[in-house]
Amino acid sequence: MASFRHLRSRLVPLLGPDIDTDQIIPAQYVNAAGTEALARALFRRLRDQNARFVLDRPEMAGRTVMLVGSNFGCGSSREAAAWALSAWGIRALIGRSFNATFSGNCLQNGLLPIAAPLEAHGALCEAIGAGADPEIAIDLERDRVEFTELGIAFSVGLEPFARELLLRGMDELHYLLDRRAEIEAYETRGGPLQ
Amino acid sequence: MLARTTLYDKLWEAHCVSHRPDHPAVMYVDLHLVHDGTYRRAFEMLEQGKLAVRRPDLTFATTDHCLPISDPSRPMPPVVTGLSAACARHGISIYGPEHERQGIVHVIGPELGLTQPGKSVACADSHTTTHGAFGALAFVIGTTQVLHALATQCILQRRARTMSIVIDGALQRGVTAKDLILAIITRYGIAAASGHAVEFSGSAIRAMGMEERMTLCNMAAELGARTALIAPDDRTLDYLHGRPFAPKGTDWERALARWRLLVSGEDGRFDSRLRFDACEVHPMVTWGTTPAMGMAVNAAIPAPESVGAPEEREAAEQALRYMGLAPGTTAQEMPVDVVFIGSCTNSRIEDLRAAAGVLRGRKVAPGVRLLVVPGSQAVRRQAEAEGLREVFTAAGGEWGRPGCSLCVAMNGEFAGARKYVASTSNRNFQDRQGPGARTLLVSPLTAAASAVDGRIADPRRYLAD
Ligand code: SF4
Repeated sequence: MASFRHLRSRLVPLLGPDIDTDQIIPAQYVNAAGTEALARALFRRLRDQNARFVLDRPEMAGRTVMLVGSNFGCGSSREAAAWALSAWGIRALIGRSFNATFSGNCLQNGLLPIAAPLEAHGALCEAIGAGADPEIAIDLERDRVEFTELGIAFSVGLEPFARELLLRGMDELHYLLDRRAEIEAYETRGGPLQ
Repeated sequence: MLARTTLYDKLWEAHCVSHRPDHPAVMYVDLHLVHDGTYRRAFEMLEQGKLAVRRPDLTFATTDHCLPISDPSRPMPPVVTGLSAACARHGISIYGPEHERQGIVHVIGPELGLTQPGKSVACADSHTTTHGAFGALAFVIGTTQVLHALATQCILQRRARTMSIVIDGALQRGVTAKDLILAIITRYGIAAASGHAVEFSGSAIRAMGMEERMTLCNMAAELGARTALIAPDDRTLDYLHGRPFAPKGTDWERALARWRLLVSGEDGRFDSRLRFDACEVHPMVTWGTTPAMGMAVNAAIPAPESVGAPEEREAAEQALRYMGLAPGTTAQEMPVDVVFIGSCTNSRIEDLRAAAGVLRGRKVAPGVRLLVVPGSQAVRRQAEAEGLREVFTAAGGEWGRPGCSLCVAMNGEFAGARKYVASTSNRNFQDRQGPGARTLLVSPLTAAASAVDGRIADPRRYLAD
């Protein structure tokens, strides 16, 4: 996994509560293979229904941060939702709150789910609603998210472990493989319930 | 001190391999269930990394999500055949399409006695919470964690906060566990248990059979719960006794002694608590695009203005537009084009018996398609032996091959656009059952009664005295 340190982008705004993973990637595309197919599958139905859906507006090309609402990624635990977002180019999500399974899946794939404080999130949505197109700067080393034009800043707020893995570009599998002796000892004990 | 320990705490500590400060815990997986919907990339990464499956003996696979159901002549999709091949390469037991143990992953785990009190059960599916009905610690994982569990038999987890939901009182006749959980979700919302391990208890739970408990724990996922739990009792043990993978002989006796300890202390310390009265629940139906947009079958769709926050109001308006429904419409004015009885929520033998009880000697309304899909081969065999299949087909229904089917529409079979589907599954999201399909979540009783009426019906009218 590549390491994550700094990021600058403008936002892809996709507001509204409870956007579920069925919308992020419809079920029949869950087994799409390869970056291109996954990127095409992202929000496929909403894009098919609406030619002016935010992802397909020309000015959104190349943007890497999506602004979302609350409980984003609820529903099915399908990890393909994170894959499709990454495949399209998204590297961080700014939202009010995320479904826990979904944000875990994002982190497994080097995609940052950042929960913004209520006030900051409200101010951001308002500014976007009024036509602003602010630039975001994410600095994972300094644990900072900044919108200089809007005077909004908050911390990334990731757990130290997840942050460290991201900064080092290391994945959980290697951490677990390194725990081999402990796992063997546990199996020998048979576990307290056995 | 012990009296303050909850069941979740006990299970957590029993499965914690190691835990460094500031790191998530390394948690052991006693049972890893794999299915055709989410495995592929995990096996690819495993093989690219030249890793072996650490405990093929604790790993079981079945095919459910992508199986053709109503047209068995369609060829098996590559993900289904691919799973069988991957399992063969790694020595994992696989219950493929025609295998006598095949079925929906959350149906077969309990049915085979693989799911047991005190075990940890991991599966890359959000309804893994179902297994908590046995006092098992269920982990909902993603595909990358399937890789972790395959390679190390462990996953990294952070401890959940705990929530106690006490449900007292008796369910009225014609009201099922499905209605109960829909009523709870409607009252408290789809994020009410977000990030929590939920333990259900109370007299209503004690009175429930295992299948109803599974329905309840299954849909705890729709409250946002990370895991659900019910402490094992005599009903749990009766259910498990004699199942293929249940302990036998003296092992059974030893298991009983362990399992009886799996209860929360009387003074268990929960981070939050809810109470719910089962007596007040009516049969339920959803009118919107989240399981919390529900109402009793004798009520009418609420006005979006009556919903709290502006964000929610907008979501309700948007849902009604998608559903083609208007505020004030009564449940019994809601049309039904398709009735789907199936899914890991409601496809077990008691669900089919309940539905057949309503449909026996009756006909499905003209123009309505009824699809009944048993949850497993064992349920299918049992239902056929009891003559339930004939009841459904005589009423004009179709009898499908076991699998997820219309619950998730991942198998290339859909309900049509703008069709109303009275469905016993667990999710009514936009497009879940096919592009434009409009899902109305109901119990098996309500589904059957609605098939007869051709619109949402109160099943209590159809119950024999
Ligand atoms: S029946 Fe539906 S909810 Fe259950 S495992 Fe299958 S797809 Fe998931």
